[in-house]
Amino acid sequence: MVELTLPKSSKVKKGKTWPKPEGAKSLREYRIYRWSPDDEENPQVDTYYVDTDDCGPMILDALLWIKNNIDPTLTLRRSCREGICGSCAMNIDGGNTLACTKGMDEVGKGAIAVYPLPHQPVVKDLVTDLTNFYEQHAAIQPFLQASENPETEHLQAPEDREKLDGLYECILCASCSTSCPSYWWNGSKEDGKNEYLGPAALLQAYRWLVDSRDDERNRRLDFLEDNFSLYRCHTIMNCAQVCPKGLNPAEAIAGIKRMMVERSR
Amino acid sequence: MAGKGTPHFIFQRVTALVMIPLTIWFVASLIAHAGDSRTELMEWIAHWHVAVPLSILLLAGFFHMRLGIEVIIDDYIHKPDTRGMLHFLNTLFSLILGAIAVWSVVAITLIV
Repeated sequence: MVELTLPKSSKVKKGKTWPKPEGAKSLREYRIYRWSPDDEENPQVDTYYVDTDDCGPMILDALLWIKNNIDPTLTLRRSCREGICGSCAMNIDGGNTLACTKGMDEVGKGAIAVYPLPHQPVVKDLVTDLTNFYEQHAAIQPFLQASENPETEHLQAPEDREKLDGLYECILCASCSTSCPSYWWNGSKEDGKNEYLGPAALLQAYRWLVDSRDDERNRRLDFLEDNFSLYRCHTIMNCAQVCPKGLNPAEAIAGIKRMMVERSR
Repeated sequence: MAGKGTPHFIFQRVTALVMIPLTIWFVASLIAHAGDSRTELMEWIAHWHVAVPLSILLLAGFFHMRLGIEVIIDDYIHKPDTRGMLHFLNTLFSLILGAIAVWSVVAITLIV
């Protein structure tokens, strides 16, 4: 059965409230998920106060401000800080997004809750283990497979190239897949079999299925033709709602299903 | 992996499409026949132009039910053995219910 409740060791407890910064006039409260593999403690939610006059406008700015000024043990991933690398994807104010492109002013007025991406193994604090997510992306073979190798480049008509718009922009931040209940239930199995690939991998599968230069459409569809890889998508649409790049994986998945039906005629 | 995802997807939609007009027809007919006696209702069902679409509605309905419960089992039951057993029971249950329902319609046409 799927696990509908958290295991005992994952139950989140109330954590420490860190002192407010001295002399700050404008404060913003943050409640941040903390868990360390170094002790046997359950995860806890720590409360921090950020001096917004001394801090940039984005959530990532606030997290780094906390790390620099209050608690250097707060652990998170970040790299480009401009929405291209996908490293700082996390659950902010109840929705998955990139901390670097989410403004503090976009998150209402109260305390801002920051958690790791849902339903993934936590490495530490806001860092999750995305090994399985990346393996699923590799499984759809995200590279050009053409039967002929021209001496120069593979030519593509502008209208065929346009079909890739809205697909190639994915930065693999995992916001979509980890917001999908179907992915929570079936995205990862102990034996690695009968797994749902999730919106991100399927968006990329579609990106190669519609590429006019690729000649392996049938084999790519064969790979997805079972009850789990593709058809666990029940058009819940969380993926399209949370994508920080404004992409629509659900539409891409519908496109794959359409190809499957057309092929079976 | 089992290669039956697409037929399942197609059948689920085809049975749903079949049921839309038949359900509207059936509900409208029941409203029109509200107040009829048991005998009158049985006579109505015994007409071939009622018995045939009613049987199709029942078959499509139970087939659709089987497909829908299959989705729930696949979604939530992770142990392969348990999942296989539940799929078998689901198919058996749907077959029995469908057979009883269609036989009931046939029996009414034979009785009346």
